[in-house]
Amino acid sequence: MENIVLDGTGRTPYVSFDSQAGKLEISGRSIPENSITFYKPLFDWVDNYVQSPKDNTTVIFNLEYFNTSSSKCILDLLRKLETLKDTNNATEIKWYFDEGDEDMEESGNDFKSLINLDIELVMK
Amino acid sequence: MANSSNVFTRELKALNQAKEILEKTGESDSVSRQDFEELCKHYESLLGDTRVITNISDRLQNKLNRANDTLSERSEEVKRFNTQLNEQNLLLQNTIDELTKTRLSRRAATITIIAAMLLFILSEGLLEPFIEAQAQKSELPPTYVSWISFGFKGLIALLLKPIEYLIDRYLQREAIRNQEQQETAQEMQETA
Repeated sequence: MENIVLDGTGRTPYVSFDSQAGKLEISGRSIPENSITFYKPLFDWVDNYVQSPKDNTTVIFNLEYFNTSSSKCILDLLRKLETLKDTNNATEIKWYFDEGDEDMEESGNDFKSLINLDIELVMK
Repeated sequence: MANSSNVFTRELKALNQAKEILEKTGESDSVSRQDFEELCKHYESLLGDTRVITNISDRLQNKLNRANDTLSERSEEVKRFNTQLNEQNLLLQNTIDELTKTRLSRRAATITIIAAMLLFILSEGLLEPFIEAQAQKSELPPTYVSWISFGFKGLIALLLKPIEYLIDRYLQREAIRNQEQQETAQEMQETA
């Protein structure tokens, strides 16, 4: 399947979904005008990926800021990745936050409490 | 609002499915356990999402409020600095004006001294011989000649201060006129 690579802009994050390496990364700022328009292709990609995932999947969230509708999309993305728990796939999710950025850390904790996957909070 | 309803497509679908089941179910019929379980699952998921999103939204709002407060504080600081700067500028301008006045006054004094020297030379070289010649013709006593000569010199000395004042005023007016011309030229350049 084709990889997705999107350059970051002032309102949308950098995205790199690599099916060969089993590595998914979303970094930067996520405040798009229409979140679903931006995230829908990523949802479709993940729906496709979980059908035949790599043995090891690494998911990296390295966001500096995101709006409320982006948080819903991130939740949906994580829910789709939850299905990997039922397979033999080893899934590693890393949530990065800056030292002193309590908001980003607490958001990571919120996601961690809701999703049935191991989310590691990593201070940059 | 179109954006927020689009991100809840899955939830809307679950709700519509539940409503369809309800419509199909008669008053005496009971809803199947499986369908009810499905509805509970979706409700739980939606509740969890809502809780997280509300927390995130609150944090974003707090961040925004803090940023606004900081912005207000900085704005006040800038206003204070501007006021201070304006006061300093006014002080500076006053000092410059005083210095200019002093410089022009000195120039007036220098011109007056030169004028006084020239008048002294003229009085010694031309006026005094003329007075002596006229005195000899009219046969006035020598003391009268001396008094007339002193009188002219005294008049010249007394006139020096008014002459200095007039020169000073003229130089100040010229300086003001030049400054106004410069300001007008600058304004025209800026508008052009």
